Amino acid sequence: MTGLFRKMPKSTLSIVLLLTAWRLAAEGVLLFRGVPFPTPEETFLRLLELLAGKNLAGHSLYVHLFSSLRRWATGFAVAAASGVLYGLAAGRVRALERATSEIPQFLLLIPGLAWVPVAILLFGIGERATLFMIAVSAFAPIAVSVLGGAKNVDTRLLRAAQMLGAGEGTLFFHVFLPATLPSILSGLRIGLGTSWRVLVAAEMVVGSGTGLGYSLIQARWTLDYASSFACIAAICLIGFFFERVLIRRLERGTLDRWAPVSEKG
Amino acid sequence: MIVLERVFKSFPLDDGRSEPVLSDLNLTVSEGEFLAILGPSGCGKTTLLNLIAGFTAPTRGRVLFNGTEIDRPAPERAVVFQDAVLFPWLTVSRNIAFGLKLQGLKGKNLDEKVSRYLAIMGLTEEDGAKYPHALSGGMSQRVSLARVLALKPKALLMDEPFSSLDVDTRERLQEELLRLWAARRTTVIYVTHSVEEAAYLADRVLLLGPSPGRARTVPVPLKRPRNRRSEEFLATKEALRGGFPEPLCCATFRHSPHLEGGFRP
Repeated sequence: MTGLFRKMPKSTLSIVLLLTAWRLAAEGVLLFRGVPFPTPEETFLRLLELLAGKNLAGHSLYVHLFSSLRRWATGFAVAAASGVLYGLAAGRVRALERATSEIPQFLLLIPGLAWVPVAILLFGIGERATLFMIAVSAFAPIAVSVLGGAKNVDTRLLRAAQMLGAGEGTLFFHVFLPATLPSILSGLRIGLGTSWRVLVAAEMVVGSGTGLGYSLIQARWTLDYASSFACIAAICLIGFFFERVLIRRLERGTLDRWAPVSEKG
Repeated sequence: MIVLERVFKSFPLDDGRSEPVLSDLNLTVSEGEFLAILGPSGCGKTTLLNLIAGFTAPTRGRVLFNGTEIDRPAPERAVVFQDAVLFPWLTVSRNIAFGLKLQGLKGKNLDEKVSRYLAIMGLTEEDGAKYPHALSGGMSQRVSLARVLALKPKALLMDEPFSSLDVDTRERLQEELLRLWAARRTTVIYVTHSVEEAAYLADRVLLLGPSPGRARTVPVPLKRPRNRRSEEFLATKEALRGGFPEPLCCATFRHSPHLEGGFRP
């Protein structure tokens, strides 16, 4: 049995454990509370039905999926661009860092859903409020990570480049930027997860009319828990996919070649 | 020619005071000379090198290179750092090409020059395709040397470049450095805290005492090639040890394991 575990890939083992815990929880809830709790099999079957085109909160799953992805991509792009630019600028310009570095730290402490009243006051109910929540929530972790990396760029690398004849432009684009890349990727990874979680929460609360978060809460109101769970599974799978495909691919193309994982620590 | 005129350098402390590191230092280094700077840890060896490199400015006094005051780093005063300081995101070949590209070299000429300097430093084309993390300490320092020698600097400033290497590699690289210096007659300023290294490499040694302002230069009256086991060489080492401008206390000695054998008061 131990040998079998050892041979399993790490992710497979995690999935098996998660599904087992879920199955046990479903049995336990039914046994002790008498409430039907969707099992992994029921959820999987409902997901297949939804993928086959079954209606969910007035639209197909694909419409909800597309809406969520569009909102996420827009909000995350705004957060990523502003967070990376801010972090790099504050890392290079001491006065900017001194004046502003506490702001992203402060924003980091605000939970995504706490932005709901601010978002509604600023933009009213709807699309723009959701985008604001995604962008403002993901900005903070990206900015903090990039600023931390930019401030700690090895001075000797900058000096080496200056000594080799680098001017300000070369210094920024060919030394400072690649030296900060590990922190940029780390910030994007955290920001990606944050923005995806806030998107779903914002869709549930702000009232977007479409989206995975919206359909999840609508299914719950109609006591269609299997569909709610199917939405959760879809949200989880998409988030996992983006983290693995986007960020890991970027890391493989850069950091893993510069210093393999075994030598980083 | 490198000239230091009444150079004073201090660094600010947290309590508002400042700590002098170099005081009233006058020094002239002739073109083509090999000068070693020898002294215990914290005596200002690296600070002095940084002033000549243009990484920092003197608090008072002037540092001149060929009659012009040094105000910034430049390829004509190339630096080899203690830890190679290669750009980890560039392959060995691209590290060597970095400064050459900034001098406007490109295409076939650039490739040829990179290949030539790989060969000069005993590196293969295969090594050229590696990233710095895959190199040993000795190989990294070869690349670091190739990177600056390719720029044909007028002065080579070396900050304990071989101190972290094993004895065999260190001695081999010392030989290669002497061979290159003999061929090119580039001015070399070589920081070390090894008496033997200073006696073996230099024409003249600047002895820096632990107190700012206590410095003197001592010529090394040995013909090349030098024999590390000869009576003359051992006598020169002893003379250098005894030639410090002030007694080096036991505490200083404890912090400088390379000042082997201790100092006579």
